[in-house]
Amino acid sequence: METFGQFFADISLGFATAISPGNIMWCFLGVSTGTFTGVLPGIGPITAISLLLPLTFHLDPTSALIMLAGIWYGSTFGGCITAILLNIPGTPANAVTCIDGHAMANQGRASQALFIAVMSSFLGGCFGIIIMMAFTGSISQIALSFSSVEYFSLIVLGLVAATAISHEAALKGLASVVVGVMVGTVGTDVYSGDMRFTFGYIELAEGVSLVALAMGLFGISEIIASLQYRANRTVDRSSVRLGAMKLSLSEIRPLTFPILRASSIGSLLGALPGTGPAIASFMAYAVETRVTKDRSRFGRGAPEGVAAAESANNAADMTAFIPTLSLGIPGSPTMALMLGALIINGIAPGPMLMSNEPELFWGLVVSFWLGSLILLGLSIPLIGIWVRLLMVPYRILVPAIIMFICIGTYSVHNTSFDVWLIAVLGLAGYLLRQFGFPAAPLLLGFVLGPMLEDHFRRAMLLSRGDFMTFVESPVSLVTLLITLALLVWGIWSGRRECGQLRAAKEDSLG
Amino acid sequence: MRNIVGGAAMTIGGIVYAWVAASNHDLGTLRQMGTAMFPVGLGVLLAVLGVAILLPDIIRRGDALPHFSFRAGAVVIASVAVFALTVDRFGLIPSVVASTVVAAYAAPGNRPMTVLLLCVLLSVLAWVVFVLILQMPIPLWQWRP
Repeated sequence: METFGQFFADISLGFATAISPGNIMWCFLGVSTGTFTGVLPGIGPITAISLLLPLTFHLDPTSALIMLAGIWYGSTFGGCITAILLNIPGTPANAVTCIDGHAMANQGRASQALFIAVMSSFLGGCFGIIIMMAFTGSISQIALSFSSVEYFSLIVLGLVAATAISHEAALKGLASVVVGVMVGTVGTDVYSGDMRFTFGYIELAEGVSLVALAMGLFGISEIIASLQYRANRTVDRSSVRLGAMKLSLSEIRPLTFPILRASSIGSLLGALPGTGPAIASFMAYAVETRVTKDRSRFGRGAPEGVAAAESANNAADMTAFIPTLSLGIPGSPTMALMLGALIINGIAPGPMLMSNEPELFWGLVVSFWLGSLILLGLSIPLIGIWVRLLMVPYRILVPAIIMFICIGTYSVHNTSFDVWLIAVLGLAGYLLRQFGFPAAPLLLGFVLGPMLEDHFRRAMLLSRGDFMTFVESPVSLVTLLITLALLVWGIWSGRRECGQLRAAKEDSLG
Repeated sequence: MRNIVGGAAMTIGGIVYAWVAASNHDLGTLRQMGTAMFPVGLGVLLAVLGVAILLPDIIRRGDALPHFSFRAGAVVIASVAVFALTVDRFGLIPSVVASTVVAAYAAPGNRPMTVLLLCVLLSVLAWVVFVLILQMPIPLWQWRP
């Protein structure tokens, strides 16, 4: 850990970077967009980040990341609003908030639930930021001693972890990852200069555009899927009742420990690859139900439930940046997008990031504080507006979203080839999704694929073709063992779940 | 059925991918890997995964084939394609209008008036956001069929 003098210097640098008028505006834009997409069910942070990714080419990397990060943690902030008011989680991370949050709303305590959610989110986020500030440096230091062998194994762990925990069968998630890596091989091979899978298209010489892939997979295929399942979903205004936003001290005090516990759990799970805010909030909620004296209150409007869920997911949002910024290995597909944005802007991610680009790192950290404060101040007054926005019918939103996707992607290379790519990838993404292959691991595979191959080839080159090199390094060995354990657990529990589902289906039919 | 088709697609895809890679590029040795080595490995891996995915469905009955919304898919893809076709030839505004008109029929219930309003609104929005604020070098309209 750093000395105080160094720490103070870093924070000052961060402030100087983050509190520039431009960056304040980008931060504001990011958190507002994030809240907006959080409130709109069906459009998640990954879509919003994909949509605004082209914008980042016109900005410097620090501003770009500040904005994208704002979208990221802003969306879980916004998602709690619909979770509480409408029992629809704005993002998966808010699913648990629905349980007690909506119950509170039904009891006329919606305002209080919202207040608790916002406050817990803010506190959880602060906790996560502190953890981030404290540990990213140390992890970077350790990572400096890593070679290609360790990196290869870590990337494999990241890819497997993201799939083993994902919803559908782990095998399909793995298949998605592999497909993603395959898409990543399109383009010029760094080692030999050969063009792979470009089929004569010059536009593919530098590979498939990340923006086109993200927009196609998450924008277009998402729109098609939403149209299929939720074509005319609108919100009933009368179902929203707010009530008085008054909370006495005696109601706030019992929330202290739940928030602390949940923030710790969230911080830990957020930093691990493969786990994110959604799982963090589930675990924190589960822990609260075990720790409490009266378990029956949960599910019926227990404030601790809301507090735990929201502080955990925001803490996880913040610490999710740790592996990306310290190791250069993103822990989730959304982080992969952020990493992609960094790479496109010419920043090399990895342990050297903190020392090479201190303004970026510390500016980002300070912007997290700033963004959290903006969210705290803004979210409550704007709730009315967000709810009203939910009233816009989907059939009107669709052309607007498509327009943004098309223009945004076109603007990156000023070529319609990329727009055609979106059409193709969007269709492919939709087909994959319908057959149960998740899209997010594909993106992760795409971003990490080139790194994976690079480290693999280098490790094999150095070891002269010996596979044992991956087992000889202790860090690599442990990482691979964890990966294997996750793989086995993922496949086994997927089987069991399928079996249970099948049994349940047969019971209900028979 | 769903997993059989899905798994088979993966297997076939993997094999084709590996085949294309190996035919066009150098395989090399483990010591000095060629351009095709990694892709071939990937292709084989995907093929294996595909088999693993479709096997359980042969033994037991799996889910049925998924439903596709042809309308939604076709309209959305068409909207994007129309944009791609018009933007280089006719500029920003015509392509926004064209893709909006197509996309407006993605979900039922949009009346012609709504579509017209949307076109106007989105054109203005596109101009303000992308040309004014972001200064993107896209011509608003041109004639190059």
